[in-house]
Amino acid sequence: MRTYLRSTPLGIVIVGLFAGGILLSQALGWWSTESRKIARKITTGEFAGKADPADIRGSYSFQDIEKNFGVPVKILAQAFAFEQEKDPGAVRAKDLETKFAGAAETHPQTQPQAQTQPQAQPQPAVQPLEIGTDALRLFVALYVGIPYSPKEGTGIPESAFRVLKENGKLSPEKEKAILPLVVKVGKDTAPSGTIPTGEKAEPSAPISPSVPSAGGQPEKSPTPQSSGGAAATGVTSGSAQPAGSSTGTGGSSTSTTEPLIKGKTTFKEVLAWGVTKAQIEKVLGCPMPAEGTVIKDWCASVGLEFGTIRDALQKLKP
Amino acid sequence: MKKKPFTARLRFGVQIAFLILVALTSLNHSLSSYGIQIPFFGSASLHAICPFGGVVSVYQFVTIGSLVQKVHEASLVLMGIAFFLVILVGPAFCGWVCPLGTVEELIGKIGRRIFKKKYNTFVPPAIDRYLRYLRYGVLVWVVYVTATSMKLVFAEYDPYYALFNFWTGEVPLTAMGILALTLIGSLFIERPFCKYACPYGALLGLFNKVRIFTIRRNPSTCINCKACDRACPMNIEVSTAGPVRDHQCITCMKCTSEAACPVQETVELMAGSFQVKPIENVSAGNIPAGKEAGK
Ligand code: SF4
Ligand code: SF4
Repeated sequence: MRTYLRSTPLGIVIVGLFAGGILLSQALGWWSTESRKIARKITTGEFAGKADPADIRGSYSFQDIEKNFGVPVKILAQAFAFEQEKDPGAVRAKDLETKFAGAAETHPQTQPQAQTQPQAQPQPAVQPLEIGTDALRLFVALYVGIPYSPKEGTGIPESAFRVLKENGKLSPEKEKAILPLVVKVGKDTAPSGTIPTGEKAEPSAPISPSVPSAGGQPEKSPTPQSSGGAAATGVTSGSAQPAGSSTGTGGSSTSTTEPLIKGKTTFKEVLAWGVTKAQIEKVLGCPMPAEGTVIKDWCASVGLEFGTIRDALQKLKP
Repeated sequence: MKKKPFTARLRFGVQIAFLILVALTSLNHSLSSYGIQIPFFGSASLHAICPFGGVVSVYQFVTIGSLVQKVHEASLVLMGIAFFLVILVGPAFCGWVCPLGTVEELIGKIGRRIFKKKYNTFVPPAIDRYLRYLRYGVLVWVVYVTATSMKLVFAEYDPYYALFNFWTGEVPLTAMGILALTLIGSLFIERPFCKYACPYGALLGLFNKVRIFTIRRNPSTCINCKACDRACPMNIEVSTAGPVRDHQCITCMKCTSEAACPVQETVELMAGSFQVKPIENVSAGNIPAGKEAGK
C-alpha cells in the first residue's frame, strides 16, 4: 500500500506533534523546564544510594536541600545567617555568594593565631576565601557525614562552623581539617552569638589528604597552601559516616537520629534520655537549675563555656 | 519573478515560527532576572528546551536516575517527540524546526544571491564525502564526555546555545567562534554545521535508514532532468536514488514533485513504493504548468 504525505499534512503533523506532545506532557506533569532538584545518588562505596552533596547546584533552595539531604531549613538558615529571612526555605545556594560577597576576604586563621601566638611569630598569608554554592555543599557533606573535597578557595562562615559543632557533626579531626576554611564574617551577616573563645583559638591542623568526591564526579582537589590551605573535609572515608549514623570519633560524636544537645536544648530533655539529676550536677559542679532551663542560656548566665558543658553532658547519654 | 512553491512557503513559515518561539523564550529567560517578561512566551533556559539535552542525559538518567546539570524533564519530552517524528518522517526536526538550521538557511539566501549556481558547490565531492561523517565523531565525543563528566560539556562549543545567548555574556568564546564560523560558512555552503558537525543531526540522520515515510523517486516517470539534485540543500543525488536513504536527508521536501521535480508523483514523501509504470506513460500532461525541467 502506498501513502503520500504532502507538505501541508506534514507541516500539520510536525506542529501538531510538538504542540500536542508538550500539552500532553504538561497535563501529565512531565513538562518541567526547571530543575526538580533531585540530587543524584552516589552509586558506589559505603555511601551508595545516598544523595550526593557534590550535586548541589546554585539553583537549589534550602527547601530542596532539606528534601534531598534531610538537613533542616532552620539549620541551614542558622548556618548561613538567613534566620531573619521571611522565607528561608526559598534561599538559593547561589544567594550565598551575594550575601557573603566581601565578607570572606580574610583568612580566618589569622584571627585565632593572632590571639594565641606571640607577635613575633610569622602570620599565615591572607587568602581570599569564597562563600558560595560550594560552601553549602561542604556544609551539607559535613552535616550528613559524606566525604567531600571542597574546591580551592572555598570557605564557610563561622556561623556554619558553630552550627556543625553544636550539632555534634565535627569529630576532632574534621574540626582540625575544617578550621582553615572558617571565615569570620561581619556582624551584619553573622547570626547572634559568637564562637566560644576556645574554638577560635584552636590552632590550624595539618591538612588531611584530599579524598575524591563520593559521587565519583571529578572535583578539583584542594592544594595545600602555605597558610594551612584548604581541607578535605571527608578526612578519610573511614572516618566519615553516613547520614544518621555516628559522625566522628571524639567525645561529642553524635547522630542525627539520636538525641543531641543543641542551642535550645533544656535540662529536661537531657533528663528524658535517662540521665539522672546527680549525673548532671556532677558535670555542672553545682545544683541543676529548673528543668525547663535552656542549657546554653544557663551556661551564659553563670559564665561557663557551653561547648564544654555540652560535650560533657552529651557523654552521659546512655 | 518565479513564485516559490507552496511547500517552500509553508516550511519557511513553520521554521520562522519555531525560530521566534525559541528566540523569545531565550530572551525572556534573560529578562526574567530583571523582572521583565514578554507576555505569552515562556522563560525557560535554552538547555531546557533542547531535545539534544535529553539525548546526552539518557545515560545518566538510566544509570543514576538524574539528568545532566542544566537539562530538565522538558528536554526528555522534546527528545521523545523528535524521536517519534524521525521514525515517522525522518529528520524533519532539522528541516522544519531547528532554529540554527533556519538561520543557516537565511544566510544561505544571501550566499545564493552572491554566488548564484556556484553556491553550495565549493567543497570538492571527494573531500565532502568523508567530511560528512565528521558529525558522527562529534556525536560519539559529546555523548562520551557528557556521560563521564555528568556536565553539559557541549554547551562550551554549541553554536545553537551561542546564537540565542550571545547577549548574556555567558557564552564561552569557543561557542562564539564556532557560531561565527557557521554563519560565515553558510554564505558558501548550505547548512555547514548540519552537514559536518551537528551531533544531533548525526543521530537523527541514522533514522533515514529506517523511517516509515521516505522520499522516493519513481524511476519509471523520472525524466532525468536532475532538478531534484540541484534543489537539495544537502547535495544528495535524488535523481539516482529509488528511496532516499542518505543519512543527510532532512525531509525539507525541496526535491519533491510539489517543489523542484517537474513531473507529478515522481518524487514523493511516502510510505510504500511506487507502482512501476511504463516510461511512455509520462507525457507533457504530467508536468504541471509553470515547472520547467532543469530550472
Ligand atoms: S533529499 Fe529531498 S528532502 Fe532530503 S534533504 Fe534533499 S531535498 Fe530535502
Ligand atoms: S527532478 Fe524529478 S524528473 Fe528530474 S531527475 Fe529528479 S526525480 Fe527525475
